Amino acid sequence: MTLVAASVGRADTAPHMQPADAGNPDDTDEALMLAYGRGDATAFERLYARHKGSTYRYLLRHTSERPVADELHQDVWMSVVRARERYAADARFTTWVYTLARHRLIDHWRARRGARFTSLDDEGSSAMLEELAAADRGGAQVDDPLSLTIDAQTGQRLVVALADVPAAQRDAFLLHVEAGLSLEEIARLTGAPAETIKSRLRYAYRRLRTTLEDLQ
Amino acid sequence: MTIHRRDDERPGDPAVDAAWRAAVRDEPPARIDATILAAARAAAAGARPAPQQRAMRPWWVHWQPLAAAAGVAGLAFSIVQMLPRDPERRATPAVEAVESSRDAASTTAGGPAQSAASKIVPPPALVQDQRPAPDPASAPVGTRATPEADNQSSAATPGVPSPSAYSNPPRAIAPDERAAGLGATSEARVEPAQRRPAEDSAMTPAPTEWARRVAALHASGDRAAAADALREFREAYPDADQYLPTELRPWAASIGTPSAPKNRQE
Repeated sequence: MTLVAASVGRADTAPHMQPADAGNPDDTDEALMLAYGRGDATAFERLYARHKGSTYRYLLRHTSERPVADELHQDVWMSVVRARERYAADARFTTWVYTLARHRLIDHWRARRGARFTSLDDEGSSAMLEELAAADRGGAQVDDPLSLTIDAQTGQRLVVALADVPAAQRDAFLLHVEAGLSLEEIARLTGAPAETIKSRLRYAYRRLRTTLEDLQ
Repeated sequence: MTIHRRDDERPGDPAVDAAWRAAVRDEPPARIDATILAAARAAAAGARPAPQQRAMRPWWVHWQPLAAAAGVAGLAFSIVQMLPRDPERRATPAVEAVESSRDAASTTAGGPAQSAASKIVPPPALVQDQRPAPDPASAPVGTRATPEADNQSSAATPGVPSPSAYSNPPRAIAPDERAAGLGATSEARVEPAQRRPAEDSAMTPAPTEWARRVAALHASGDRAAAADALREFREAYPDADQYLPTELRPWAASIGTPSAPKNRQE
């Protein structure tokens, strides 16, 4: 089995994102998920400890509301629990679990605003998606002080800046920096061409870099 | 295991990534973690026993339902094979008891030949059943019942057909019943047999044999012995006169019975 490890892993700040022992085939995400499918609950605990922060942040940055993020996060992982027996390690576990998270997020938006768009990555519906996401946020800024640790001002500025980024670009950025997915994996997950994903990432990074430069 | 690094594909900014990781560290609440982990453990606990149960089941357990079904089918087939196939032989248990006792009596008294003869020779009762219902007034003297004696004769002389029996249409009689010389209804035939002990049945000859014996004594000229034999015959079989040859019935009518002496007719 060939594992693809993107260099955007958060080994320094979020060590649970990557396996502690990448060389151990029994410690990969896929092996742990398969072990859980056979009834090993401790495998799920390790898997959940690795990915719970990133999936939660992905959902929180999209919804900007903790209660909603809590609900969606629980739904996503319950889906993982229910799908334990039919999980097949033909793709990375990270790609699979973020696919579940995206689908749940889209369902949430559809339930709130009606099924007016078909895909989070549909270029034609990007404007509508942005409208829905902005309406979902309701103009409220993220006001949770726990999200601002070392540099509260920098963190809040980044979060606010990301909230102003179009949803498709924000989605690409979060999948890249939080999930640690590569361009190809994001393109495969979202169904968009890799060049489109690259453009979205460049635009999102440019907005965030501008925010950082304004702080300096 | 091969690990590919894709730094060249990454359009990100290290400064932005570092600032993001340092500033944004949101985690799900502890209660959400507890809920998810509890559900995961419960699901794993529910999934674990299944393969163990499958592994613990021996191979023959899978064949148990089939073996049980085959056993029931075999038992049912055996029972069906043991049932009598001739519908005429499906008599009541009491009639079967009478038949069995009569068969035993015939075997003991007359031997196998007698038993076979009693089954083959059609008794006069068969002719009696096939004829129209007889007039009680024209019945033989020994069997004729007076109106005041009807109530007694119906119960005391079970072999005599009762008026109710005359009013009923004739019924098909099984061959064994015919051999036993029972011409009345099955209920009337069963009752005397039930009352008679098995020992008496073993000592009593068949009606046809008895009638043959009376006829032989009468033909030999020993009328007194013939009369005694006829009386004994009547004691054993109240309808004994019906078994006698036609030419002997006028003589038999002149012979009284111990229970119904001659002066009764007079």
